[in-house]
Amino acid sequence: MATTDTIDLITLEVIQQFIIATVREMRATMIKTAHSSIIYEGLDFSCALLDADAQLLGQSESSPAHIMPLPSQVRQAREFFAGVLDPGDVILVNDPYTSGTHLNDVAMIVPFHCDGELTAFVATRAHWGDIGGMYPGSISGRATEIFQEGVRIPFIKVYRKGEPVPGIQDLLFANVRGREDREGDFHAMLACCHTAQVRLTELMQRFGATTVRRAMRTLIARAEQRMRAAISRIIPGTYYYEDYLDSDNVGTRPVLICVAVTVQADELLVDFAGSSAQVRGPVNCSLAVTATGAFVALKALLDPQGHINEGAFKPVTVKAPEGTVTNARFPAAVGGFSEMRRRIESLVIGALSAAVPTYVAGDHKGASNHTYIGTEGTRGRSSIFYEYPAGGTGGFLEHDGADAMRAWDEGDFSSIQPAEVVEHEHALLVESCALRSDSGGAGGQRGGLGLRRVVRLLGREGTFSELSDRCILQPFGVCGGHAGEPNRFVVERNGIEIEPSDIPGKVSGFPLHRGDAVVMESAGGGGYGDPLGRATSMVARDLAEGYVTPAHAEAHYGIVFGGGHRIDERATAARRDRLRAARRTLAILGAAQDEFAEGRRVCSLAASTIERLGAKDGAHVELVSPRGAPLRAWIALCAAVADGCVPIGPKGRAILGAGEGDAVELRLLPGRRAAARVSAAAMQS
Amino acid sequence: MSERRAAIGIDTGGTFTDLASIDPESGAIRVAKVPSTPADPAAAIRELLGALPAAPGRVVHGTTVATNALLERKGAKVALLTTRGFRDTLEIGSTRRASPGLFNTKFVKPDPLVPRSRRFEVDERLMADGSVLRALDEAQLTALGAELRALEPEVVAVCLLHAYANGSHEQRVREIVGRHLGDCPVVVSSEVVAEFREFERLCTSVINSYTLPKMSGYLKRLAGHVAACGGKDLYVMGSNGGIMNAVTAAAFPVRTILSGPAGGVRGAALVAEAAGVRNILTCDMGGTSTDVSLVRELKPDLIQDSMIAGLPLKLPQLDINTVGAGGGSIAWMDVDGSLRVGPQSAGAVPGPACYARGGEMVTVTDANLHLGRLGPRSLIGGALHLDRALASRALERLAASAKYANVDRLAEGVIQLVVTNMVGALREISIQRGHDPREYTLLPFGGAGPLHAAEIARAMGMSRILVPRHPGNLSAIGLIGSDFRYDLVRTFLADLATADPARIRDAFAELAQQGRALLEADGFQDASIRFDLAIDMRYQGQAFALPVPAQPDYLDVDRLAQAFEQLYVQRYGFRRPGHRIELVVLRTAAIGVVQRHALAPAPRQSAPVVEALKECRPVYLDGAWQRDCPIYDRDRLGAEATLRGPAIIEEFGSTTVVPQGWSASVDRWGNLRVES
Repeated sequence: MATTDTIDLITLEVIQQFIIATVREMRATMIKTAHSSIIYEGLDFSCALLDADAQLLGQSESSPAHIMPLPSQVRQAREFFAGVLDPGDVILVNDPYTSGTHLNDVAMIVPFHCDGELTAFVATRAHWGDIGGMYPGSISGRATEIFQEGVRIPFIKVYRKGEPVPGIQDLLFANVRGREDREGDFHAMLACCHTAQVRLTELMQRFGATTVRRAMRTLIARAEQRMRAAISRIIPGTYYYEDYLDSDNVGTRPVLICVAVTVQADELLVDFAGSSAQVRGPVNCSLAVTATGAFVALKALLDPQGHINEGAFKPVTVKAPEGTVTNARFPAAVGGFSEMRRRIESLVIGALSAAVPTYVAGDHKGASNHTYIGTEGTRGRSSIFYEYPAGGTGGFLEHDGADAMRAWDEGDFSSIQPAEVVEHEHALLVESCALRSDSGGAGGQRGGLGLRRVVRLLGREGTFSELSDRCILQPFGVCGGHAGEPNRFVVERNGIEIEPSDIPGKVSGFPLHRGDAVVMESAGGGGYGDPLGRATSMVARDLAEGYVTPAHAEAHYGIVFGGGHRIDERATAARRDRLRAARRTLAILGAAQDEFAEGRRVCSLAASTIERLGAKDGAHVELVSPRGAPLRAWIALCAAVADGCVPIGPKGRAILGAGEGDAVELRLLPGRRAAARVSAAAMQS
Repeated sequence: MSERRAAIGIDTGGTFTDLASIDPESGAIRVAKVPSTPADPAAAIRELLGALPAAPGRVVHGTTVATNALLERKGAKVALLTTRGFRDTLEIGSTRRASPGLFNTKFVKPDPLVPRSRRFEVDERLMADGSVLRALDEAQLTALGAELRALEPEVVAVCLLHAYANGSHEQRVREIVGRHLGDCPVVVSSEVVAEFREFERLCTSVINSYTLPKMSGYLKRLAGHVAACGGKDLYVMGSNGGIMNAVTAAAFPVRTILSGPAGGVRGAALVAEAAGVRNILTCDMGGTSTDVSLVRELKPDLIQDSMIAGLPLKLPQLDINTVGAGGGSIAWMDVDGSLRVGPQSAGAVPGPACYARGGEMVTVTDANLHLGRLGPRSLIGGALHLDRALASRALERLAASAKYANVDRLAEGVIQLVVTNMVGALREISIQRGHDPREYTLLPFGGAGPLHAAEIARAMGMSRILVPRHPGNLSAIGLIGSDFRYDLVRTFLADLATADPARIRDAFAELAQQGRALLEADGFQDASIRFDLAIDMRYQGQAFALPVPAQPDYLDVDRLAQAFEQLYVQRYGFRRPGHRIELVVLRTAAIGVVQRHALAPAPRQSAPVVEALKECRPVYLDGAWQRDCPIYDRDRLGAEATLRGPAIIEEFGSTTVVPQGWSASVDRWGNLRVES
């Protein structure tokens, strides 16, 4: 590489370490000085250094949600001000339609000059506890347009040449709740950028601006080279996948998202054409968020070790048609963008699962699981209990998924609170917190277990709100692995579990009475590989530890017990053979087009086929790919289709890696479950 | 506690076991060193004790037995009892990965220390105020006792919800279950950590249980060795920087997780105090890792929460920041053509290339040897011969793979990168916490600390370095001069505005009483007992609290609020007027002050400094070879000796580099003061 010769190897690494350390110091400054707890405890912020062309040099990694939006927004700011950027200028922006995320995430951008020349940008983006809008905290599952979500800040200079621009801060802070704390967050961001400016000045003094600029270019070139090398190991071609959000929070229909990943030599094109038009509910997102989701997944599959800088993005192009959920236009609501970001990650993993099956893992909980219980506090004031329980992670080639743990696309911080803290703060009783047996998707390598947490209201009354997804459509398994159990949030009242909303997992202020319990069940991870191939010794261990129940072991792993819980190896082997032979398989018919109806893939089957499968018209199913992620669809009765056959269009066949005439296994999925169920406890008593 | 016999400090390290003693008459420090015996660390200690000229006074030990049992997962078979509904808390925790795992779809979580099949639930439930929601079901417990016996656990751990507020259920569980278990110890969480947050209390108790049989057996053997050489009492350094008696250490091995490094920090503080230096940054650089800490006004910082092996510990510990960078750290080329150093280390086997034990990779030690900063006989008094040709060859291989022409510059770069790493760790504990390193003196120790101290100081903008006498034995020296310390806590959640000062005072009085009883059992009398009080406080809504130093006569609401806000401003730069303040935990450190012997001053330099010159050899410093760089023998440098860089000063366990523009002088106590 030409650039290597122009800068000393050691100087380069020292400057790289300096950039990492500077970003870390920015992060420490923010944690130290921010006022919003979601910043200093939830770590929902990021800090970045960029070069004069707004190319990312380094970024803090506590929250992967901000990776693309920040550099992308700095680039747009540079264009917006047409290069008129002076020392002492400070730019503020939170506009989702110009590479923002949601309004709560406010970005600050500061140009850095050396010898009178624009040399770098310092930037940070942090989630303010409130930015105005119709509810405290600003984010609401009920929002249907941006105006309800708070103050929208286009690119503005809040400081010009070191002087505050009169009136702007007054206007801003007059429109948010908790003015003092928001001013505190604003000053924390200033302090964070200041830290970086001091360190950059040191860097320039030590090495000289010319060397530093050269080092920046070389570091970016190296990251690009790493990513290109990783991409070129994938077999060229186009890989497809499609997936859904359960709903947009307003309607009951699933929201379709499609991707086509084209690998050409050492470049990737990720195209979201075919995804649903933007929806009324707040789950739309900007192209920058879509690009982040794509990049986070690619990074995990291709090069999890390398530093992240602009170079790593260069071989990747992300496209999404404007006006879709993946590239929303004004005035779409975007408060819940992170649900979409998570689904986009699943989507890209799903698409590449067939291309790099040894690298992928089963899907995981795929939702933020924001759970709020408003109640009387213990010390005479009202309080809000807030948790976002982690689920199981997916199984992968070498190992089972992890149980109830923050996933690979999430920062590493607590998602539940200690029971002893909850009970001090709120009039609530944490009754149990346990691993959710059988929730991990069955597989040669099992998906991790979700957790089950029961929180009972001791006070007179309360309210329960939930923002989740993957409550209907389960986290998928890969390479023949089964889906994990979905997220599930219900209320237990008098021993009966009731569904607190029309749409599972989307609850807004459900009234609770004394003695009611909120039951939080997080999803299990998807399995990897055929569960009938799982070593019986591993099933035996799962049984001994209670991770799976005997009934689950029989149903999904083909286990036959000899007396008690001893596994009869011989009978098990024979039963596994029988189960394999008895799988529901269909012959693929090569349809000219992939068929969708009401935003859902249709699986047209003859009445006789449906009956033999034990299914129903409209049932949710998955067609299993032994080499990648499954193709999900809904059954539609179609007299024209021959018995035992299933017509699948070209994209569907590509997802399955199968052609006309091939056999494909079909699995029934529960889809939307019954609204009310009697709890196990009530049945026992 | 006054003594006429010499107090002994013994520190077990990964490679060597060190002994230090102070002669009570002359104040002279004596040191000895033998190879460690990892299979039974007591064997090396017996060897050291056997070589003592006279029966020792108190023997204070820095141990890694509990730490290693945990890190190597060679602990006991533990059974765990929890409140009904919470047997999975050990596995679920706070759902954190607790190690780097962002972007890693293949993250594997270590198995829990107690498997699910050995975790049981007890029918009972306490509330946050200690009241009983559901009484203990003794019949269920009796049945459980029989089931437990069949399991044959080595230790049973009990951790019930809200046991910090009311320990009676845990005590009763111990009584009933204990009847079925014979000698099997039953550890109850409220005795290990009397604080709320069940996962942290549970993990701390489980780690205690997991390491208990190993530790108690070891200390019993060790006490035998001490008695055999005529010694009286055995004490153990705790992670909190204070010592405890061996009985306590055997019951609470989890308090010794940082035993070794704590000895080093105490040693550094002792040296600094004698030298009249009050603010230091310590840097203990060994083969695989470096421990750094900040000591302000001779007081090391304490933290209440830490992590070990991916598990939280809720115990007061010295705030020691560890980085995976040491003399054995390996330099390598990454796939994108970048040069990296560490975190992999060559360890003792195969070791650096220059050890000639089959190591082929360049380590930091090889780079130092190639550049002449280390000589072939620099390590442990020449007992380990270093082969420079092997080091250079390894560097040439690395240079070839990096297509880098200048091997010398590459070697210096390797050192520069490992220094950058340590500087990062030091910045975290100083600048990032609001302390200006320029007001501090760098106190390097461990084999490799003084070798890199000048480069670290330069990068930190520091101009003063204090290299202690015996930098390779400083931990053992620190053990001798440490006070006894028992930390007592009580969770006390209340709004400051409405808290009753009398209740706070009463609670503190109870804690003091407990502490006094422990110290009296160790032979302390009133005059040598001291209490340090603190209250953890926070603004309402925050998860973590600041420990605010308190005085018993100082407990009115306004003064506490003021003290809290002052500390808050110092730490975070702002305060929140009108925001509610909460009390969280009351803390009392009961300290038994040991009598310190005056250190003997170093002999004055009588001969000219040139007499201490061992040789001259080429040394590469700041990008150029110094053809005839003088190499001095530290043992022949007396007090007031002064020399100018560039120079190298060698001694038994360490080597100090004095670059151009820096000078070194020996102070009254034999410390080297290296200054720019």
